[in-house]
Amino acid sequence: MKLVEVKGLGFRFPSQQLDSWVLRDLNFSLEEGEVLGIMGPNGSGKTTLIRLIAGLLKPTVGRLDIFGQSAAGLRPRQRARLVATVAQDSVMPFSFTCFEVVLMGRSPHQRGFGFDTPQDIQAAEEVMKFTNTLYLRDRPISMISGGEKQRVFIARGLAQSPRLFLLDEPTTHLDLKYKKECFQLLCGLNKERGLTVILISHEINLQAAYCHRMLLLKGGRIYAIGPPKECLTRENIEAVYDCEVLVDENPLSKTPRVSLKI
Amino acid sequence: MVGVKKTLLLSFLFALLFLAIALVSVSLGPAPIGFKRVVGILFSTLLPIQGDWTETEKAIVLSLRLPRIFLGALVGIALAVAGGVFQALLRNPLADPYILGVSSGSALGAVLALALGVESSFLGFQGVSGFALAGGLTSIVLLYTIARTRGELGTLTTLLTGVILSSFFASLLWFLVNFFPGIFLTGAMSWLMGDLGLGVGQLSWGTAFYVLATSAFIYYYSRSLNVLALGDESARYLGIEVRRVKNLLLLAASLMTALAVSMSGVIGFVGLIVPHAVRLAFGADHRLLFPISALVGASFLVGADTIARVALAPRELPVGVITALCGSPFFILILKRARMKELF
Repeated sequence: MKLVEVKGLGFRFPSQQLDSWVLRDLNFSLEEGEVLGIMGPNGSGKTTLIRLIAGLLKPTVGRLDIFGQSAAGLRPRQRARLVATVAQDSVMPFSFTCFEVVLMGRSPHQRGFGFDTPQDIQAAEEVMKFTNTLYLRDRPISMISGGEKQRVFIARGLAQSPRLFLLDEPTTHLDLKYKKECFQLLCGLNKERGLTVILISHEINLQAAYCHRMLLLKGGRIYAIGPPKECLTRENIEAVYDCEVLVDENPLSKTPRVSLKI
Repeated sequence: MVGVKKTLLLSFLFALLFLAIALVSVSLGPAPIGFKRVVGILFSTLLPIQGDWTETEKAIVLSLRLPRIFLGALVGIALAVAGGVFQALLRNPLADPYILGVSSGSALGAVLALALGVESSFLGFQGVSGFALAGGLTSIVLLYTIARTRGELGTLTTLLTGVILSSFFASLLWFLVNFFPGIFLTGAMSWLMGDLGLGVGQLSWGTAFYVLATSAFIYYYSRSLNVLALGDESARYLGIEVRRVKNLLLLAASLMTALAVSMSGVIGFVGLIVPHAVRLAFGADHRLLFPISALVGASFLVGADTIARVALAPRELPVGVITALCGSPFFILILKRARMKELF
């Protein structure tokens, strides 16, 4: 069984004109244990694709199945036990502590009213250890740095015990070191727990080093999909981003390295 | 982190605080009745004991002061819990129960009833109270009809619609006040500034049931409200049925507000500062926030009403004057003590 299977997918918002497709003619699938990087210019439909996979939006045409079932057709709680999503930069209006935020990740496993069980607390502590956030436990989420916050949100996603992990630009606002750490963390999760990861990022070179496959979106269509070496060619990147680049090999990771021609 | 033990322990402590304030309140008033006598009178309703109190004193305590304390507690609970819900749903610590225009709808209903001199009842609420409740419910229905787009109440649309409805009702209200200047003599001011004396005659087990049942309904959703603080999108990723939960809770909190206003007029400040202060002191988890806010709201309003009754005795001040007068400095104090950054 494919973990994600997309067939003839097209999407447009109901309020928009009939010919203004956000995504069109998408066909691809994902095996369990893959790390897929989604790339594309602003407005190419990356976030919409994540929302479709997470079941928040319904395909206008075609099918999008996760775990063999229609993503939008799954019951919300059931879906949240299989798929965790970290959205772009969410602001918390109230001062919940980091531990409380991570515990919120347990909510698909809890029913109706109730307090957190010892199992919930254990699960939350475990993912905080793994993401190196346990030292933030009692700090208010509004008082920590951007890099720490991102790790707490990743911990929240892991607390859902998902099999598929979606991340929408997890590395924006992070400095160089945290960017690398974020990718390392996701790859560690993939290797140690077999977690399937789909992530959107503008970090071409990090994605090239850490992702198994890349998906290049342009104007709502798949321009290229495949291993970084096949996907990240000069021709593809120049066509998708409409700017001149130089592609060579990173001498350390032996993966494609993309530089802007300046 | 909030657990069952912490919630129960703190609830118990704040329940004791409420009882203490209620006891003080029942012994204070224009007619001085000693503390011991008051306790004796209260126990004489449960136990066969005799004392040296007069029938008048017994009547004052049992049929005037005690019902008023119950009413104050109910209104305090309703406003504080509704405030907590609105702040969570609109994801804004500045939201209050009146932000969606329910108060001006209710006040308009009350003033209309005063202007027309009606004596009919609505859902068991007599006369002016009935009109106030009807006004509040009408404003909720209008809000839902106008603000809903594709079955959903968007935060900004809802907020804007509330503000617009609010000022529309307020201008209608002041038109009426100018058209029928006589209604100031028959109590329009009490409805606009809040007065627990308005609803004492209306107090029944029914109203208590409405308030407590709605509070329990809201409390059931407190975990979902925690998750909603992450934002609609993240809450949906966590399996919360955001649209359903938001619609239900906005409705429940608006109902509570309409009930509160129909019993006591528009009492400001309780719904804004009580959940806020509790959040600063004990954190944002709604499983603790709601019970403590309810008890603090009840204590605060009963305390403020006691001051309103006693300060200029035998004249009574509108309790809304006291809640704002005591509430503002207290609030500035806790705001100064808490670090501003932690607040938002």
